[in-house]
Amino acid sequence: MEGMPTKQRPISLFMAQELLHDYISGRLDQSRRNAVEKSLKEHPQLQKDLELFKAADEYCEQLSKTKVNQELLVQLGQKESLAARVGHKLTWKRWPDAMKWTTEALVLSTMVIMFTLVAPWEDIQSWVKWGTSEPAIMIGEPPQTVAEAEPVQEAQPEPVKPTVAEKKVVVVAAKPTVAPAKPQGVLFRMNMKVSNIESKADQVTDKILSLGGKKAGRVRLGWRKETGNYYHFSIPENKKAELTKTLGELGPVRIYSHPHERVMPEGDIRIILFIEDGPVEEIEGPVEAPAEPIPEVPTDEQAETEQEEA
Amino acid sequence: MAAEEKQAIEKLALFFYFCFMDEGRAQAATLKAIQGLRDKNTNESWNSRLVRTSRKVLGKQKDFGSVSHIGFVQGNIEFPEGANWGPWFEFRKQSEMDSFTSIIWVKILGISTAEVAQGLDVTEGTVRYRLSHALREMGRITQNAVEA
Repeated sequence: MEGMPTKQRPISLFMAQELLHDYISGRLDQSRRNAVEKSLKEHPQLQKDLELFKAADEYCEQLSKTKVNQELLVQLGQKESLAARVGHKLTWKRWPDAMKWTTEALVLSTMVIMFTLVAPWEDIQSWVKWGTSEPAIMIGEPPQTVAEAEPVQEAQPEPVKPTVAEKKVVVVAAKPTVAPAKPQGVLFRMNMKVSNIESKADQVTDKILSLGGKKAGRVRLGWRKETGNYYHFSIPENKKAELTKTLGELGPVRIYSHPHERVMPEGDIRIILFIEDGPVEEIEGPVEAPAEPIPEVPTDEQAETEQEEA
Repeated sequence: MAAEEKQAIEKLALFFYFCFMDEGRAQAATLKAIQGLRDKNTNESWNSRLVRTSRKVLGKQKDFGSVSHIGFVQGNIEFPEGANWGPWFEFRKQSEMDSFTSIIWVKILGISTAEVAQGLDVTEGTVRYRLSHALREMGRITQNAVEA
């Protein structure tokens, strides 16, 4: 297309006014320049506009000579705005160690508290209960397991690993909706009052041992409680009468027997004897009550456990 | 401070002086804008960054249109000899922000329309259009001032 004559493109006054700034700036191509120049000759209004642009250009040219003091420039370059300074100071790296530790501790404790409040503990407990491999410890043992174990080690039985079938039996027994296992054993409780029992406690212990008695439970024979002495032991069944007779020499003995889920080996019985410190009661001979079910868990055994934990 | 940065800071300071016509406000705004000017995470030219950050800071000024006096401290600004600030003061009151700022950037600070367009994220044609209207308005004010 070079060298070919360019066709003149006529433009309106409005168009010429819009192109005027580009015309002054030298941004128009030749044909547009010619068109604007032609319009300038034809429209005096456009010439006035051109004068306005030139006047504005001259004025801006004059203002553009305004300068900033060099000292002020250096100050501006070195200064930081308040926001920038605050932001700079608040940078984590610039925090004192104590502040960092405190903040971390606060964040951690807040997270723990939030977790504690939000966590579905009931669900977690159920997961743990079903997920553990030894639920029997919490629940108790099946009767047949105890019978084979050490006769008096009721609190710490031999760790006989239950089979899968046994585990099932235990778990089912632990559910409150299922009826508890039928008690088969018998526990004898002997209660009596003897004045100044502390001085006679060892004598009773020796007698029990001489009759073949063995400590049961977790505390020693003759363990001193607040109001008396406590004996938990197993003894051959045929020695019970002799023991009762010996105790009867110290004072009247109340004997109770009640069913218990724990079964002793044949020929052995389990006795909990509590001799309270106090004036001897006036009862004719030993009193033995018939076996009756006692629904509540014996508090003495609970006390033993507490004593052990202490 | 690098020469380019120093030049950009000077332009920023002048921009805000011409905008606010008050040295205290201008210095505070310049300090804010300098942080944006030093943003390293950009490939823009100093001038484009200058336009972007100055427009951003200016946009946060709530009372841009309320200029009632000229506040310069003697010595910090070196005025051109024989400069008449009356037309500028009048132009400042009458013009819209886009027209007003385009004259400062292009005609007073000497930034190209392409760099202004990049800094404002608009087309170069838009900048030229704003500039054209602003110059016509300023020319009218200037001529009126001469005639008066």
